Amino acid sequence: MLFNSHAFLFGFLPVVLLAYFAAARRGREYGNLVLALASLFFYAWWDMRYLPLLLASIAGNYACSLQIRAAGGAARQRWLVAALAGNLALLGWYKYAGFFAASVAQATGWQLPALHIVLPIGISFFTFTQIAFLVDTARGHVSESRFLHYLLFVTYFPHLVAGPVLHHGEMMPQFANERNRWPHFDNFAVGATIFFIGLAKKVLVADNLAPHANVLFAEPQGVSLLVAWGGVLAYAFQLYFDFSGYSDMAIGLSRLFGVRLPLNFASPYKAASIMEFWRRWHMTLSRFLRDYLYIPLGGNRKGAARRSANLMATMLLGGLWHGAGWNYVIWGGLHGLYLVIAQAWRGFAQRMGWRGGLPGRLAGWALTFAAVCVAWVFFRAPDLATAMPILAGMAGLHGVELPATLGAHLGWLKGALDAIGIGWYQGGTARFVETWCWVAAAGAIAFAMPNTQQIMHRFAPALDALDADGARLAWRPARRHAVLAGALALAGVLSLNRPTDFLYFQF
Amino acid sequence: MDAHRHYLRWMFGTMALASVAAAGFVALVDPYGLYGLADVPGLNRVKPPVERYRNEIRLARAERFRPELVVTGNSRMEVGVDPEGAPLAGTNAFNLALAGTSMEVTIGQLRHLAAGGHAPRRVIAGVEFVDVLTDRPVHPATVVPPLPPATQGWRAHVWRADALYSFVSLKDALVTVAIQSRPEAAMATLRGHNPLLQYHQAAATEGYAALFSQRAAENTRKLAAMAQGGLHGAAVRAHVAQLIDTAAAAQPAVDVDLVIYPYHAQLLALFEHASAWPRFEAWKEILVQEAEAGRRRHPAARIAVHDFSGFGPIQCEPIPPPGSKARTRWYWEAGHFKPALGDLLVARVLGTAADGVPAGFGVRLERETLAANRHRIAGERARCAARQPSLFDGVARDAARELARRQPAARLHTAALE
Repeated sequence: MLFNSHAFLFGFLPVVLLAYFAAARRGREYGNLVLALASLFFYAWWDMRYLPLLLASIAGNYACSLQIRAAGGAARQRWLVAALAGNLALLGWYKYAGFFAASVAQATGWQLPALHIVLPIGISFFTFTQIAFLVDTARGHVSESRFLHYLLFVTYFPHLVAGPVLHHGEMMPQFANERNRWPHFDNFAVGATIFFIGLAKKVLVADNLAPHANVLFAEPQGVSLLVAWGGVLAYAFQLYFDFSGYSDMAIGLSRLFGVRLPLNFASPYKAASIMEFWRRWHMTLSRFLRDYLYIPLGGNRKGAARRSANLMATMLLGGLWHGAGWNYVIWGGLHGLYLVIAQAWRGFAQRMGWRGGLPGRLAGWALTFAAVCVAWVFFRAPDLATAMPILAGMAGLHGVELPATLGAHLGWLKGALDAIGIGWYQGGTARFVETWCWVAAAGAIAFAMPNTQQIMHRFAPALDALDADGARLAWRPARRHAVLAGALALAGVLSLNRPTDFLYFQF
Repeated sequence: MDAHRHYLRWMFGTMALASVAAAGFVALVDPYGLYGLADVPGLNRVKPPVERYRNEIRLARAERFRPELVVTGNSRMEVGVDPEGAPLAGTNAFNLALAGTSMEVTIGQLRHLAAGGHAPRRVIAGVEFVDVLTDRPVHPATVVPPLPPATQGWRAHVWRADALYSFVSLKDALVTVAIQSRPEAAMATLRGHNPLLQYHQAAATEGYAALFSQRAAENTRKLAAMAQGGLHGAAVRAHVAQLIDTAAAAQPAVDVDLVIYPYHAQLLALFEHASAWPRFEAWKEILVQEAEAGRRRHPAARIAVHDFSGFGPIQCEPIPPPGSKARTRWYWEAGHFKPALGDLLVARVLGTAADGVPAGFGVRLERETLAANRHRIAGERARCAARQPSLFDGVARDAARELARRQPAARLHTAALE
């Protein structure tokens, strides 16, 4: 079930809210039970066949966590390793068995039977959530023994299929909070507003950018500079608004139940370095990779060379997590490389005493954004044969061209453009103009507007919301804001007619 | 707490009021011509072309008009035939043709009208040759599955809610108001004709050479991909038979006119160079056979095949050279003809053709006239090639280049099949 669908918004959600608060009135655990069952129904709506897999994963991990807690010393480690191996094997089978078989067949020429394994939606997210739970249990940070709470922690529908990746310690106290047994107007006002902002990001911005990106990635051959950049920027902003829209919706939905989720996005395209980008993009995944991969590998504690190797390993695995394909590996590798270079540059700049100032920050922002866009080409393209011509176009190897019809309206400027070598192509004028209009609009929102958390900062919208005192457009429960939010909500609801998947569902 | 309660009231109140306002505005402006609440010049008289629910909206309008004569087919008919043009004026005609659709859609449309009790007395059906070309040979015994039944029940009407209450509908309503004062804005008539008014602007700025050239490039790519293929004869037989049966079942004395489009000489030359010409002739023969069979099954019906293909003076209309501001009379580009030509076509089909229609334009095809028709076309071709050798040379050059570009892929494809 999609958040941006009539079935969810006008069917599932109202029913679950009513059932939850009716049940919670009788007792906290009744409410939790309703929420857990609703979450399972939400998951099963997509494909009933994978519900047993989800339940088996939850039951198995819960049993393992009990064994880990009961054991001590080496036995505890053995239980942890076994449990982690089980999770990774499950994830590996569904995500990578087909990729592995195809790669082996390609490398060796063996005729292996093709594996057609359908990826259960959300498997990465519920597996990562449980891995973190097991590790924290082994570290002694977790002492949860109520299965219902654990079930709800893993299946909680606002985060189940595309994150954020949750930490047990930040969620369980909220599920146990007696205040959340009753509906609160403040939670509804804040939650609904955040949800509708997220819905607008998804259906009004991301979905309108998608066709412009799709055109480029469907026909990448011989594209000229502005066409290539137009399509890639359309994708960069599509992904941004799609994912941050989803994260907002998840945070808003959860708030209706009085539960705050961790922040997952903080205007990543405003980042002035690639390190900052990763502190702002998909923050809970970055946190997971840092805490459960980068730091256990040694982090930056064993010298610069080892830090670089750890960064590369983390980003390569992070890339591979996004999908079983070499393009994702290249994407992760590029980001690993960016991070290594950026760390080296930072060390160098510090030694030289260079602070950069505003020009340095602007240059850092432009370089970071361009580097991220280049990497998105590999993220989006299905193969290298698609990615390379687009990169060639972005580098200007196919020249700079504009639509001929546009040229006919430019008057004297056309002559000037001719003089500097701008070419002209037939057809595609509307597509070109629309692409760049949408890119400009999306860019203005992403770069110049405060993000949802900054807008809602007075009401602690997320668990780790950043301090944003004085942010422009700061929300408060006033009539003017209500009318604005109502108009935005209407625009979102009016656009529900063609619900489209969220990009991160496939991960 | 009261502040939040008030906030929620205002937010949801705004949503509710704005929803009513948006739906009311769409209903009043009526961008899809579904409600007919108001017809105000300067506000909503001119309607934009429909981009979504095209078939549903077209059928809903047709049900309102209860047409005696319907025109069906793809974009060639949609932009080329005006039901309110001179030959059809006063006949209660309606253009059901939809760009990008095939004969399955036509059959579905006729079924829909028949089910609603609006079966037309005459059907002028454009039949598309390019649609039945395949990229690999088709086995003669190929079985064509019957068309699935149309969606029934409430699901068949969900589009109406969306057409009234959605962002796209609201946008289309605003577009409707905006185009009232723009004579060359894209529009479509309530009777289903899209006159491509926006092409006037494109032709004025880019020239007809660009329009022809751009479409020729698309056609060359498309047909070159079919050069080594076949003809889906089974599908042609099945669909023509179903079309005739559907029309005659609802209206036993129906007139069914199957129209082979008046492709411009540039496109016909491309058929030759893409090795499609023998298939073109075989296709015509199938049409004739199916028309005969249809007449046997439905003796009260009148079924005819009209061949408007050829290289006559009309189809051989010169393409203005690049840079020229000259305008064409008959064609937008090689595949799409203007309503002026559509009027001649319809007049010929109705047998009301008056002055100025060349004798070879629109030949009634029967089994015994097929050979003569081939001779006619061959003669016309020779004369056209003599008048415009550059047209044929250009097509030959572009087709050869495209076929050469495809050769490695074609070899790989063949190797894979082996």
